[in-house]
Amino acid sequence: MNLGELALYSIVKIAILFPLVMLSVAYLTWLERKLLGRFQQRLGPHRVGPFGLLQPIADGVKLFFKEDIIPTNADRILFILAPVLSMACALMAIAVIPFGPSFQLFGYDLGRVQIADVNVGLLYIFGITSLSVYGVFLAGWSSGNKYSLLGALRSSAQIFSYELTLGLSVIIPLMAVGSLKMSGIVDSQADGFWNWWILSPKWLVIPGLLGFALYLISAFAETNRIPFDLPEAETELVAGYHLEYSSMKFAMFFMAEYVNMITAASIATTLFLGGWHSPLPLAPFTWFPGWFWFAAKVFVILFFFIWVRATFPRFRYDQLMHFGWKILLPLAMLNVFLAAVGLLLAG
Amino acid sequence: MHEAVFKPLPNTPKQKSVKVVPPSKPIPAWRLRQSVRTLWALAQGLLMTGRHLLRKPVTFHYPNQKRPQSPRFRGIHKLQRFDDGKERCVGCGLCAVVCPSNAIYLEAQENTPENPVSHGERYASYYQIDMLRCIFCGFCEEACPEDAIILGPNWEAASADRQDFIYTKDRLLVPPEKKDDFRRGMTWPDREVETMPTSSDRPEYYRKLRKIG
Repeated sequence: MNLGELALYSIVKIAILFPLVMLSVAYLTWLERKLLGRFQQRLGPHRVGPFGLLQPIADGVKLFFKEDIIPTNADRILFILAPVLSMACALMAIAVIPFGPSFQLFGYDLGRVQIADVNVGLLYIFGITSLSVYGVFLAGWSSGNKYSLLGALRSSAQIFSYELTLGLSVIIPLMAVGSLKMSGIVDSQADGFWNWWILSPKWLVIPGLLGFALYLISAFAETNRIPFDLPEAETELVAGYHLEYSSMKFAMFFMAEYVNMITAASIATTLFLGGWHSPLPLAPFTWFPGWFWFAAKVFVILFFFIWVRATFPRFRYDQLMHFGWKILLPLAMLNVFLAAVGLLLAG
Repeated sequence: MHEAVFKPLPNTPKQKSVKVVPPSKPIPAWRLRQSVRTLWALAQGLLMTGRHLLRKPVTFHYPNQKRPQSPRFRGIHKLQRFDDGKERCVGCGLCAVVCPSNAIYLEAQENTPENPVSHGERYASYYQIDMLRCIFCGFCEEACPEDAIILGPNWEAASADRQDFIYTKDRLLVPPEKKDDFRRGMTWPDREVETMPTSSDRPEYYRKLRKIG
């Protein structure tokens, strides 16, 4: 495959994946509202289209035509840059996630449903997702509003604190596979759910399960979701870092948050739940294509995100820091140790 | 480094050296038990919301569905008619007198023998209620000696124009074909609406809700 072909194939894959991701973002908001409604014994959106299915489109149109306000106190360049940065960082992380096995289009073998199989895939993801702090912080800083600034400060402190746990929990499959390549990690989990790293076949089951739990918890914090939604705590900070934003700039923060959710769920699927592999290498399971299993697993995790949002209250700030540094981080370290011992014993 | 030498004050006992306790202690058992309990509490919370997810929504589709009112509901007024189509109101003006917010204004006229509007000597030639002033206390209904004015079941009086809240006879008087006492059915007579059970209709339904909490 020469460079031109690679570029062409990548563009084709982007052309397929980008609208799909944006569409799933739109319908994730729908799903969340619908499910939250059901959790509270309400109906959720049901007026626009059948089952409210056109609601995300109506929301998009509404936001698009809203007045775009830039406050007088704002730093104009940073104010405009911040949502772009948020959105770009959120979308860039999608590039290395393997959504499915090799596929063909018009007789051409395009390779995996993965835009770029970078050999430092996992590191790349962490680099990019850490960059999204800049979007949040610049937004809070440039707004010229104390509530925005407080939200941004909270957010950056929170994301820094939980990034460590996130990294340590991800080390588990990394130690077992010995590769940062996303495709390598997925391939190591083929042939049945007992090979998934959540059950960590070779060693004790605990490191995998605990690693998955730690990953999920810190993913909640990274994506600013309840119970870690302090950056946008409505009851205290009005809206947090995006308080002064309106129209499509606000929509971009909103979308970035949901893209981050999807990314977090996709990484969890890829690292711990076997990626696009079917749970059993038997007939009825193998009939479904890889992307179906990937989507199903991502859906389960996203459902859990929403379930948690419907259930738990918000942390207090000192509790959040206490939990992150004094409970999660030691647990993550212990977990790495356990995994190392397990690997050593397994040989 | 050297220790600072303090001269002990007279009459104070010499200070004993304090033994430093090393900070490393095993995690006490109660703390582990507490964390297990916390996890269980979180799981219980999730199960609780999960149970609610499976339950039917209690949403009331308001414009399509309407609750039936209590028979004593006090909504928009209606001026009643007899079965023969004659107006009940005789224009005595007691409702206007009793009205605590001065919302009612009426003018009365003598009935003419050839074309009587009511069964009494007089009738209300002009009748007006200002719904923006009305407090829906129902005193007019209580004061009326002829049972002519009644507070009906309709409460949907919203409008963007203040003039729309001045109700005159054309809107207050029940149409001739509707005749007497629409309060009997207590649904809006010219509109069929789907209704949901209320607590008084189906106490067992609400009792069940309460039990689950």
